[in-house]
Amino acid sequence: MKPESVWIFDTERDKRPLLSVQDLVVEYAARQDTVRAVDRASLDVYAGDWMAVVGESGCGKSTLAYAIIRQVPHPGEIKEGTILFDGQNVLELDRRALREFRWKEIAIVFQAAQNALNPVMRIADQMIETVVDHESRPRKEILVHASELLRLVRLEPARVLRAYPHELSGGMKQRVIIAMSLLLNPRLLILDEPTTALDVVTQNYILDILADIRKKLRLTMLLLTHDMSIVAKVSDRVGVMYAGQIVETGRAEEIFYHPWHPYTRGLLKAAPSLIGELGEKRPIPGFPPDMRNPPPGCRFHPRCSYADDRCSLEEPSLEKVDGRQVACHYWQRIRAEVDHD
Amino acid sequence: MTEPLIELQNVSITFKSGSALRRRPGVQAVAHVSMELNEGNLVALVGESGCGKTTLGRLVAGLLRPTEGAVLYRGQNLSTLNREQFREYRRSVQMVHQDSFAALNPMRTIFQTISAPLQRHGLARGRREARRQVAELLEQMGLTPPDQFLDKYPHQLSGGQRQRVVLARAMTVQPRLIVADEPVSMVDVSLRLSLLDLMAQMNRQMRITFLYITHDLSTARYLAHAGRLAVMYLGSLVEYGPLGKVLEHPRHPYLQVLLSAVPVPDPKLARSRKPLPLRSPEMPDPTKPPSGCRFHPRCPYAEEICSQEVPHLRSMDDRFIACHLAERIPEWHLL
Repeated sequence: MKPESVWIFDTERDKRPLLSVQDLVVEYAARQDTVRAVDRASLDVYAGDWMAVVGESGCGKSTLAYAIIRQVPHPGEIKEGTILFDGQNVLELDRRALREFRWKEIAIVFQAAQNALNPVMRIADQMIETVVDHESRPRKEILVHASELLRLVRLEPARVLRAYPHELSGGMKQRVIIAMSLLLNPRLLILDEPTTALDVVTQNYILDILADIRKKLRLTMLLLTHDMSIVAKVSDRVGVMYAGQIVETGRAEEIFYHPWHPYTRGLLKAAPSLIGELGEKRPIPGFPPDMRNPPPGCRFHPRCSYADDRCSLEEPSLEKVDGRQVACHYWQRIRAEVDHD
Repeated sequence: MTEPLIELQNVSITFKSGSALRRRPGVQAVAHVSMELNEGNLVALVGESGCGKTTLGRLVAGLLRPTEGAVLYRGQNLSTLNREQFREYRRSVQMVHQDSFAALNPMRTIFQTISAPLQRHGLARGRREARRQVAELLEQMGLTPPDQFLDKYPHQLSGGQRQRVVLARAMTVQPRLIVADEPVSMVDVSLRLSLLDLMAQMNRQMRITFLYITHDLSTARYLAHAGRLAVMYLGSLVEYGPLGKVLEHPRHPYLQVLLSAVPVPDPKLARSRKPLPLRSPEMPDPTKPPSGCRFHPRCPYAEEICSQEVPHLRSMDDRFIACHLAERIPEWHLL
């Protein structure tokens, strides 16, 4: 076995988090009311892991991603919490250090990033500009590196470097963006809904490429998505996010086969699939909360079939159990039920 | 035998491009599609973006006219209908779009939005009567209690709730067919099923015919499990038949590839499934569609005939398929 595969599949207890988010609060101040998009969310991403954060639109996962690189759009603001990257507090970085940190330590591929390419610049120039913005390196050297990365995402450098964005398909553009994000050799790659605008065949292809890149470059990945099926395909660990909070984390098999949080259970039951019994599918009753005025106690209690008075009064904390985390007063009851099934 | 509600006879549509002076090659968005929709049918039309499924939906809804072929409504060619008949047809066929926010006037309350067609068509006399009818419709669409919704504005509702309002408005004119184009793709995952359930219930209880247009085979399976599945590729219909059988035993190489790439929410299965290989990952340029079978440059089984002759949709066992080699394509199963 090659040493790199040992490194990637290291045992749990030897791992330390490369990224550790603790009790993070991000608020958007609107005219009348404040929206707490991320509300004391905590999350560890271990070196070498492919972590996924799954949640529905408006749950705060994109804001979480922006917060990690300290790029929360106006009028959003990080109010509380810590973000540690390799032991260093990201929230304490000054402007210059932050500039180094983005791209070089953490790179991010945004949702529908294909549209972020400059339409009047050739890909080669855009790639050079990205690097030169951060460090001085000769053009030639950058192009050699860029060509390597393009080959890694299965594109022909000779053709693509000369092309303008409109000459490439959506899937090709997305692959260019992925190659660009790797130009400064980041250690963590954040992917925010990286395949949402793409067709399944292309999506599958890109997920394969990402898995390949991760192995070859020993990258740590943080994927944010609403799609349980994508999570199932690629991730080692999963965090489930609801109404600004991480409500459950665990290994992918644990989350999919033995979910403890009622919301995780609900999401799995509500995900239409090509396989499995249709009769077992159920929507989650009710609607996601209005984040200007979230419910008291457990955020999920108005939609939860296990909820009682305690849930509407007392907020559950994220408990650590057997290497997993869950925020529910009644997780033990649910665990017993799931194991019985 | 009763006539089909809608019949497409060898329908094609080409969108011109360029200016009158400098014509550029047009895009044939739909190419020689024949298909029937019978009263009470539930048909899922699936394909990737750009395959022409939305255009086909608009042809069915009478929002576009075919450049070739004919669209028949209860046996009558749409182009021969007089004004009165055409109005009646447009009333019977309603369309629901992906973006419910864009579909609703943000300045109007839900009551104003839904009561407008009732009053225009003289279906409700007086405000009190209109309010009663709108409340009843909202209730049917699962927006209960209706009093909570009547005076709200679209931005005060969630995506799933707005889409129910859109359905309620479509129902005011008592349509026979609803063309629903990606109606749940902007709706939260936890709420998608209930919206699909609502459409299935409308189909079952009110015998409303549905053409459900989507890129998502998983929701197609959920909604139309007892109905039919039509699969499009680059403007052509490639396979059409009972959904359960087609999914269980797909025959067209494109559908096999597509199904093999659909992700499933099960880690062990997801990692053991192997996507079928394509000869080329890129979709061809739709302004220059390949000769013969439009799938042939990507098809793993293509032979000489495939680049020379256009395969026509033909009946085979329980379904229709457009592939020269249908009899020889290896079997492929989902699991």
